Amino acid sequence: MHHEKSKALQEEKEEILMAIVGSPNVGKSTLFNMLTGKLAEVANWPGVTAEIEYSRITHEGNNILVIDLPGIYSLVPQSREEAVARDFIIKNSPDVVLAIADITNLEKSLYLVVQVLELFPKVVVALNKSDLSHKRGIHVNVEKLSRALKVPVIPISARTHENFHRLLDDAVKMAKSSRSSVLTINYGFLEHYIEKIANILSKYHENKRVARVLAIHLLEGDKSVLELLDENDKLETEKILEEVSKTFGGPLAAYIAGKRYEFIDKIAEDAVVRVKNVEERLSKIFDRIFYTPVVGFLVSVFILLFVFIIAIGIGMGAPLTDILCSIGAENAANFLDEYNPATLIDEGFSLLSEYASLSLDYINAPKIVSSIVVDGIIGGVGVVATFIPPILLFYLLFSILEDSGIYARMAVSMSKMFEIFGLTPRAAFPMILALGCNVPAVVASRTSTEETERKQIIFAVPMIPCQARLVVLIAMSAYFNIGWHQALFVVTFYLLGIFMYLATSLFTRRFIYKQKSPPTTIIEIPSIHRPSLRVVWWTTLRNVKHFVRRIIVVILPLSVVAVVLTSYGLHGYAESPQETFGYYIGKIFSVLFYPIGITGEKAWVVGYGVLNGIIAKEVFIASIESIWGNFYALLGTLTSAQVVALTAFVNLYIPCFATLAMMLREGHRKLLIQHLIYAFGVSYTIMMGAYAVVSILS
Amino acid sequence: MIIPLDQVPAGRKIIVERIEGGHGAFARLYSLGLVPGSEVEVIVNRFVGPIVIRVRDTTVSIGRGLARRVYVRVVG
Repeated sequence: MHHEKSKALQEEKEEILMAIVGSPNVGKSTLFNMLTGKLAEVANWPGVTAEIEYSRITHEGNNILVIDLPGIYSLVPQSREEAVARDFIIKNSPDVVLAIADITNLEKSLYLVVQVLELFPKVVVALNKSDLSHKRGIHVNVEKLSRALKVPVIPISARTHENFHRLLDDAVKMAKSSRSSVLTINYGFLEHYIEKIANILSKYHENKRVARVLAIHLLEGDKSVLELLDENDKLETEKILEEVSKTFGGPLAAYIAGKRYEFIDKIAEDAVVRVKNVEERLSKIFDRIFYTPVVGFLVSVFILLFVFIIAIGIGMGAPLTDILCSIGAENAANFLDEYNPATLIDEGFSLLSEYASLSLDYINAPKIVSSIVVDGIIGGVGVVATFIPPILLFYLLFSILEDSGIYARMAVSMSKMFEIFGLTPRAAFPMILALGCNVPAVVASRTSTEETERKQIIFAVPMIPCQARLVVLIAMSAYFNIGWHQALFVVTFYLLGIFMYLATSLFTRRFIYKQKSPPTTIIEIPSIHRPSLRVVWWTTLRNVKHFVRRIIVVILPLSVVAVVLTSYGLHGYAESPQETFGYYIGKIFSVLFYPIGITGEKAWVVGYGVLNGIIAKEVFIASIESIWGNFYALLGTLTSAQVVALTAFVNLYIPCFATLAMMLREGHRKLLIQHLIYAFGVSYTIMMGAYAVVSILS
Repeated sequence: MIIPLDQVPAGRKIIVERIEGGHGAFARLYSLGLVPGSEVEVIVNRFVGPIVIRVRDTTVSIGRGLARRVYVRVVG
């Protein structure tokens, strides 16, 4: 079905199918965005598992469908992304492949280009960042390079649009050509075995060059090549593999990669001149800071904290308003409190729901319809919309850090700390994002390149107190009268949340995925440079757009469920909260609080609040107020041990609906069930522990 | 003398002799050009935390666990 779709997408319009391939950091996405000049569409393609971005352009009367394949280091799949790129080229056989190399990092980026040239005949090589090459003292003889690779090589700059026209000219020419030869690298003594395996594989792949490349990939350790084979052929192939490893001691993949680099080095020796000692003063300054023990780590933590405060503060007010208040800038605090984007959006949605509610009353719509439309749909979308400004700011700031090369150095300085908890520094981004909202943080787990680490992050992210839980924390802290006690209370729970995130990651890795060693961290460190604001903006917009699209899908049905739970009871629409389904369920939850001495009516109310907290964390307070009248009146009847214990529980117990739904989409059902049991168990244990400790202390 | 990469102090130049590992993370090292015969410069090695090296004009940070399995000969 997908296949027909792509055929229809392409052939009806006689479009040229052009796929862009490149490693991360070579400026592939920048080129894609600059070429197409608009936000990409997303579609599923035959033979690949992930969604792929595409866009349409016209060049000299030719319609071109441009495909942005995921950034990869090698065509031999190590991850889902890498399998996507190779399988796309094999199964869709594009009219032309645009392979991107980075002139400032030529040999390394040619590695992927060479692999593409081995697999596919109709390739045009774009040599990106050519505007920077002279500054870095790199001189490349493009004609020589082109002759050696036997395909057009065009020096371009994705930032300045240099040579785009020529690049597209050559791409169209290549697409219309009938070039069928590919690059052949001599793999020495392996050739004999490659041929043998390719012979077997050619039964399954019509194309001889594909069979050869898959044979090489198999020798490099890609066992997925064997999946298509029948039992006999599989056995025979495995026999050949055994024979190879017997005659050759070391890792074959290193040998094969070495041969490719031999080829690349020979070309580079001929076509590249480097002027030594080009000063990279800026990079050196940053290196000195981030590579100094302790100092580098502290600076990194400070930068993360800064990102958090700016993104959430400007996006939503708190905690920047509190900080401004404490330094005496009350006016600024009040202004920010009233006019931050989140508040404005919230007010907009309030007006909208008022209007909708009046109109629905006017046409005499039944109560259930109006409450679902007003509280469910408009309310639900409204809550999501208020989170867009801070999330946008998060992505913006992180893109700047990433694109400038600063983040790579922060990663190096934090790498040891994350390693202790079975993570890589990639886990920092979802962690900081989660302080705003857990839902996009679950999506951001995709920044991890290791599948296990990605699952760890999904599993652990809900431990981090989000903005909604900050609201609850601040309300609970009102129990204490002294200012610094309140601050200590809030900070303690933040630190607890972050510690639980890290500890939970380690727990997940060790005991759920049973991996003893931490994920390996390989970080490429680019030189420090001024980020391109357009690149930063594109990346930000793309990520936010993806998030909004995902969340709308999960939030709408959930909002409807929430409305039914909290406004309906056995006798239909409920006039008071005590008649709703939610209240009955809350009663079941109330038992949980007997051991910490909260009983009777009070326990029911807290139970009802806890249930509502699953719908959305901040509703914990409003739902208690809807029954008890005043939240602080209830709080005042509790002991300090009960307050601390309850806060611990409410912070950690079960993620909100939206987070749960996103965990299910990004992870799987088993992971979700394991998380529910874990989170509930841990939060309950901490609640009991905190109750015991504070009771003894006070 | 052949020693593991994690034992090489910063500032030294080395040549990769052999790598004890097969697939997985090592594939990333290979695709970066860290293969037997490659010339590498050690930029940062604090004997705790990752090691920063320069190979084929690319700066990369790799974890100690991985570095321990890359055997090298110090040449400068």
